[in-house]
Amino acid sequence: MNPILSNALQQLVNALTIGSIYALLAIGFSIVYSILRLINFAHGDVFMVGAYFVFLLLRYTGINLLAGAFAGAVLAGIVGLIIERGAFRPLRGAPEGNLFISSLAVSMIIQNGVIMFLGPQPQSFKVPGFLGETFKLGNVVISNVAVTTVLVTIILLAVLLFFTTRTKMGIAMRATANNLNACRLMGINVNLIIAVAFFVGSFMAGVGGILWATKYSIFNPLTGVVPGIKAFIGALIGGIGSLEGAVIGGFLLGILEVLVVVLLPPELSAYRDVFVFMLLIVTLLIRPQGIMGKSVK
Amino acid sequence: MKPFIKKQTFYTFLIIGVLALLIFVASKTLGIYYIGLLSLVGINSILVISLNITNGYTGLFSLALGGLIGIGAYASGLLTLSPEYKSVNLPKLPDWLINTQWPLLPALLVGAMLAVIIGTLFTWPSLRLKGHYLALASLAFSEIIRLLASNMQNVTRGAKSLTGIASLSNLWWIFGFLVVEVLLTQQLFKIRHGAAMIAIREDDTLAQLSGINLTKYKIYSFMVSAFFAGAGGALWVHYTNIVSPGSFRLAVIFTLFIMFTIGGQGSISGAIIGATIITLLPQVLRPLEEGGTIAGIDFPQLYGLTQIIMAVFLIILLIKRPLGLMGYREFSLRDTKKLFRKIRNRNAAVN
Amino acid sequence: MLNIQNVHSSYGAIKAIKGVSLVIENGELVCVIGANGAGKSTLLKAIVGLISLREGKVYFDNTDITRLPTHKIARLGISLVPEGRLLFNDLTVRENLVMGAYMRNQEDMHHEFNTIFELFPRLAERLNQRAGTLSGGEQQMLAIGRALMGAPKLLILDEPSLGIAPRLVSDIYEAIEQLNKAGLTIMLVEQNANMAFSVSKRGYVMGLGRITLEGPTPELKENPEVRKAYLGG
Repeated sequence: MNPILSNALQQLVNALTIGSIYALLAIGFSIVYSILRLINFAHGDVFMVGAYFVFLLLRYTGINLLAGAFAGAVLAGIVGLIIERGAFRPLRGAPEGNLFISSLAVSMIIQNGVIMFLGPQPQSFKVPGFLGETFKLGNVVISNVAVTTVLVTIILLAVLLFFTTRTKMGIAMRATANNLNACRLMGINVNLIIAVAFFVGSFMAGVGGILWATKYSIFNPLTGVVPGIKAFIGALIGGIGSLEGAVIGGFLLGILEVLVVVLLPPELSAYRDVFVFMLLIVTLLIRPQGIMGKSVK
Repeated sequence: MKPFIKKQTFYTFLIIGVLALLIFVASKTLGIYYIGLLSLVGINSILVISLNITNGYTGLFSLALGGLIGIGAYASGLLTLSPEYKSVNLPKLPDWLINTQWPLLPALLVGAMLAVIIGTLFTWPSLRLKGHYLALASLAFSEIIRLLASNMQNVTRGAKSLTGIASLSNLWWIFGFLVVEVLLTQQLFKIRHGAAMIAIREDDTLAQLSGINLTKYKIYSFMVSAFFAGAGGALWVHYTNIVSPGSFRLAVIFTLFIMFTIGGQGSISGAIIGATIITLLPQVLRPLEEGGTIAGIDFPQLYGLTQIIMAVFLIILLIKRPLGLMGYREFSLRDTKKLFRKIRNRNAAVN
Repeated sequence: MLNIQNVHSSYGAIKAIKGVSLVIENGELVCVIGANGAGKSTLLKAIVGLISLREGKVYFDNTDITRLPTHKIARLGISLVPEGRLLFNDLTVRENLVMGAYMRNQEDMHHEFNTIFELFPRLAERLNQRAGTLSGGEQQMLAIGRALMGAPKLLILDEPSLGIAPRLVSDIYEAIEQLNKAGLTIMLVEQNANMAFSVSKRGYVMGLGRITLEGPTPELKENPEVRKAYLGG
């Protein structure tokens, strides 16, 4: 196989892996935003907490990876429920600046909570068993982690699609994004739906965090900050408030990020994050509603 | 008979005079620890008022403070550092920069202007859109500055920090600047620009219909705020003598937001009150983190607990008393008289 | 069935409804007419709990619903077709209807769907279209259909003719009449007094937040004030 081609494929695998994680994060963010018009700054920290939960579960109980990962994601979802109930619902109707500050405060609480109980130093996550292995496709080395990541993401997205188009509650979730009062008139308990939305979004963030930990093996209390911001940017580029847009934006971000690293000389690759943020500015300049979004002005 | 000078101007000069006297006394009598606390209160006040201008008066939600402080700090620091330090630690800097060493004021002004220029360039596209875009763009801006500070080792020494910055700030500079900021901000919100900004906060649509060019005023507001944020950063770095990328990360800026909310989002006096309370509070709570004794109770070491307590407190504050202590009012002469009367009454009741 | 006693409600400092009382019996079709700003929509929002009532009480089938949250009121059997329709624009026609039946179990939807398609055949043609792309008249039909999916005991319509082409208005009013004949209790709020009077037996007139007149429709039609203000003299 042509070395350039195999290199490109290698990078593509990389891009899809990273893109999957961003897509999961972005969708969780978009679900909440589309209903409440709320930017949840703590979303990245829920991502981080998911990884920590699994790490602790695997270390202190004997359960296997799959159960641990699922449990960790559920715990992350529960954290999302607590956040909604404690920091967002009481502020419903307040000026949006206060909601932003509240979500910042939640972010501080989660980060410092982890620091307080587990210390600020990085933890390493040993990927168990077969996940740590790789296989070769021609000259391209593909890790099982990469395959798992993309597969899990696809499955989750499919489940989410089914949920939001074929189940009563899922359709109700989309309805609340259109008009909360109309939902109430239909007898829908809007508070319940919002809680479910937070749970779903946080669950997906938790899964994202776990996948991140398996890919990078190392994380600390601040690991969620930058991916969180990138998820927002991905959701925005894809079309803020649109679930399809979030997925597209997340994958796009992954591809662009890998592209930047490949194209830039090695000394500058640390600037890939800067590049992503620049992308935000460009999007705001030419097409603020994002790829799938409706007009904003 | 018409009064010789306007009442307002008279009181302003009076207050400035009293303040100058207090600072003179303080600088001569207080120990380093207390002068340090006072300096911090002053610097935090400057920064929180900067937040008042965008987030309070104009109703924007900007997280650019971190990046703006960073630019002001690094830029002014690089200009005041000695050529010896720079040639040793930052040899790759351009020669003209290595060989310059400026006093505080010009360095501060350059830092502040750079903060304005870079900050506005970055956030301007989002200022013409709905609020959420600014929130994200300003967050991204602050993160970029932090990342650049981390990675541009040749300019900033990255995580190794820019050290040995001279202690050029003192109480006079800090409070002098604070007075300038307060006066300027007050003036700003008296004239047309200010009214426009408040109109934007109260009702975007209505303001637009009244023919006010929203975006222009949002940008003005941001620029003024950025100037003071940059200046605050410069004053701060010349007090702490050191700056690193972590110095202005979100967790640190969050503390400023707490001061902003407690004091009252649209109030200058509120900002100062909030800054005072929150600057002094950690001193009281320090035993909690390091393990020690408060009021006779022993606490084990719980790193990060202070932040959590303050964050929880902030959320409760937002739910119960979102206007903080002062809301959108200012502490006026009338309030002072009321306060004195209350104290007098309480004394009378006791006796 | 619906008993409103001396209710007051405010928007901030402005009193929008001042001491309104009205009654609707089982099986009736009662109209409430009034000009823009008379407080009609405010009254409806207050009944279903979207805004709060300062004073007064609302009883539905002898249950006090004054302080109940909106979704619980809906589940008791009151369906409001709100001003502006408030459709779920990104959802399809079918999904909007499914949402209308949210509070019920899955069984009877077929029956309900058929009833609605008989009433509004146009909707059947557009089942998978996004609600936001329908014409004004079709949207109104969908809004009514959606409210019917909940098998309500009381249907409240807020200005169903507003902004709709006249030909479609008569279609819609035909449907309203049919529904009432089949036994559905209906409360009809309208600016268009002519249309409202044509289907209702009894009515109230609202002005400046108060009920100014009430009585059987023929009487109201003859009333000189009503003729001047709402029927074009």
